[in-house]
Amino acid sequence: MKDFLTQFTWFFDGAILVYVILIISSYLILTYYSARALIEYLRKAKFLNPQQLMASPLSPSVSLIAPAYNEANTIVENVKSLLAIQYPQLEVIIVNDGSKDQTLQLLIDAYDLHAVPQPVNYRLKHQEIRNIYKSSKPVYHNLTILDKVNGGKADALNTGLNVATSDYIACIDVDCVLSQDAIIKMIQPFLSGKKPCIATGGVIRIANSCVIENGRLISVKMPDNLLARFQVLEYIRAFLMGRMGWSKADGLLLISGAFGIFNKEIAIKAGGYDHNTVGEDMELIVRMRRYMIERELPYRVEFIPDPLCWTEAPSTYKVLGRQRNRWMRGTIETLLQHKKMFFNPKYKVLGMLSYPYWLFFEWLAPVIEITGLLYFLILLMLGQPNYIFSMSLFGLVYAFAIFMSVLAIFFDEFTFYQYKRIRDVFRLLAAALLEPFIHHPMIVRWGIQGNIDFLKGKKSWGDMTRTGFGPKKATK
Amino acid sequence: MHKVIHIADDYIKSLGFTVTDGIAEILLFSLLLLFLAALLFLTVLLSRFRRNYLARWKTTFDEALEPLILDLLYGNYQVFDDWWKLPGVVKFERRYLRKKRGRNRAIETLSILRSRLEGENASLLSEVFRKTGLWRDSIRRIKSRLWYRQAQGIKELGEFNYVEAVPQIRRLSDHPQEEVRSLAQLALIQLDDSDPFSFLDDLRNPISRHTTIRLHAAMLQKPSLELTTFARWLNSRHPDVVLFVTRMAGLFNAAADEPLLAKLVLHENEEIAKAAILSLEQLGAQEALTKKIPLLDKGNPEILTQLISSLGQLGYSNQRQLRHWLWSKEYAIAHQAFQLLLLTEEEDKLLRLAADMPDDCAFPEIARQRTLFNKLATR
Repeated sequence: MKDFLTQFTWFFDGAILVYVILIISSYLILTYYSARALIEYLRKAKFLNPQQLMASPLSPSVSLIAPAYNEANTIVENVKSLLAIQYPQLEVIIVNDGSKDQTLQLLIDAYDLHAVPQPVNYRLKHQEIRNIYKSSKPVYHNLTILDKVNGGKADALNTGLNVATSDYIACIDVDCVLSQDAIIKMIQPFLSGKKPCIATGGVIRIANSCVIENGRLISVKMPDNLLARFQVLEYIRAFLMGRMGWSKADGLLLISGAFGIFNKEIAIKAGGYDHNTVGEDMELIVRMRRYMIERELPYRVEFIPDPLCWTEAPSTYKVLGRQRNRWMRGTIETLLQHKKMFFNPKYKVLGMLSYPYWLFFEWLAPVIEITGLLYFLILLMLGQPNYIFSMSLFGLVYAFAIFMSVLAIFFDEFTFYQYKRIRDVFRLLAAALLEPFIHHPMIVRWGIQGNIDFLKGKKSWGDMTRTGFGPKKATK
Repeated sequence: MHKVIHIADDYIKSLGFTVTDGIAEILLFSLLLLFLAALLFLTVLLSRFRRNYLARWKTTFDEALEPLILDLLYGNYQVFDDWWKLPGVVKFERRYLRKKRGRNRAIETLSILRSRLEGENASLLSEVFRKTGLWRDSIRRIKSRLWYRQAQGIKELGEFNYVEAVPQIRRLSDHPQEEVRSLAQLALIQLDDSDPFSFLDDLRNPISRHTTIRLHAAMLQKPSLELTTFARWLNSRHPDVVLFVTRMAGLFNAAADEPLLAKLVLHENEEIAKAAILSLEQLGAQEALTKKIPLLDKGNPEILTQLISSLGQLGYSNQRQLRHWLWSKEYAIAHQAFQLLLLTEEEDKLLRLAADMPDDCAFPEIARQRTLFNKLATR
């Protein structure tokens, strides 16, 4: 028995060490790719002249689709913010997804809407459209409101896709604040490059404590809430160091549902958003990429690192837990739906690297982490823990977590320089030092819960409570 | 390295622990990561000081340059040299323009100022660019091996109207890097008065939509350009060149190109065909487009949709033809035809037509929805 235990311990220690080495190596390689991509992006951005694009009759038109469900407290301001975006040919489509509150009525009153007989080309299936509204005021000529029977976010986005008249569609969360030049910057990859671009994703930044007036970001501030500050670090790491690297390596599997632009024709031909997953944003990108690869069509998916989209991050552990739980279920659903890609050389980087990375380091990471912890506790009970190995490994993981977080601060400092006060840099550093003890265990817990809920077949989104950007707003 | 690992092993043993293989390496790697993190954070802090220092230096520089430029623009000097020999200018030149950083900042500031000025004032700033020898920096940049330096140099030479650089810039107009190529083509339109589009003759690399937008903007800003015909390139073998000039022929009203554009409507490349239709629409060539109807009627639906849309813009109202399109299986074609018919016929009468159509036609569905939405709208 003792021999078996010794051998098992030796095997398990080795497996954990290999897993740690693999995860560290993949993060370092991704960071290297991100750094190269960021440098290249910043060099190119220097020669961009937004005014030319703004003034040109040759600029492509873009339809911005924003689903809204029970957003009465913020909808009027949010739509105002979307209408203020600078772009020459922008169509703003708000899809009221069967809200039970006053969302639609408030929009009708605020924008002087009236129903119009506009037929829809039903290329994608979705719930019935009750009515299509346009504004009587010429100033809002580019605003369209769709009122439909409730069917969820994916269903609302598919409705928008059918109604949109432009070749490109920007899908956003209605409560996000976009910078004025967001569309101009995000549309750039579609206008150049050797291979046609089918989708671009943007960085999402945390807007908690930032000053926002009339739907416009006035000044960027570090969140006062520690939980939101942890998320600032998380988002910088995920977007600037993760997705930027995957984009460079041509392996980007996720464009955040909060803000992305797509080639409408490809999105529709690939089948639009999937109603049966809570990770509809990731699932669509994977399906669009598969559509192109399986037909041997040249394409590319790009990522724009500029801070263009600002969102309110959950400021309580309860709400954050629901969000992360949903993200985990969405990841699992998408990975299982496209399991054909796993280590399939036909899908190149996507199948050989991106998919395995998401499987082992996103889906299974919390499971492996909790298994390691349980293993240590069992050894402790048996009186046979390898203290020095466990502590060394913990030290390595902690040191690496600190290193990656400081690297994220470094990336932000030398690229977009968002937090100008020196005090904010120290606050970020403090968050980096505390994160592995306070925030990370919770993330693991929600990851596990997400796995359990997936096995139970849970499909709901869960309520997201937001305080809103304006003073004293509380929405549900 | 082995020695360091050995020392670490000994140290761990001295603490009373049993050391297995690789532990010292893990600990040393962890320490290295922490050390690197500290170094990165220190760099971030130091960069803040450097950033502040540079901001102060730029303010001092701009404060010194600004009065001199204002003096040049509004000081009524007979010849440029009168200003150039002013003691203040000489002092500024000695203090700032003999260092690379000063010259780069000068180009940056003058470039921003020049973009806001026109006519004689803009020419005066170009004269400063020449007289101070800043052009040498730009020429040095376009000779660099790094694409972003080349692009920067081309941009500066174009902005300051440095026509002497045209031969060097022309060599870069088919550069493999899109930014360099695009900026070189832009600069040639700005600088080359004799043959601004000569780069289209032997272009091999693509012209992106972004470059088209850039070139179009540059063409608009140069009223002296004679843009009466693009015939020279409408038969080019390079599809991107044909697409570019087809678009420009419409935007610049090159009526002389109408016969060639009419031929391009039947081009195998969908983009070119659609652009030719749009250009003919911009030229008001309804007759030329009407003649193409029989040839396009059973072809690519995308091209036919564009044709119907363009004909609609030109006031086309042949009821028989429009009703024929109403029977199309393609939603977009039937919808376009319906929209045009609505301008001359009653909606109710048109919607009743749908009842006689087979189910595979797109119009019955459009009519059904239209009726439904009409009911909802008037409810």
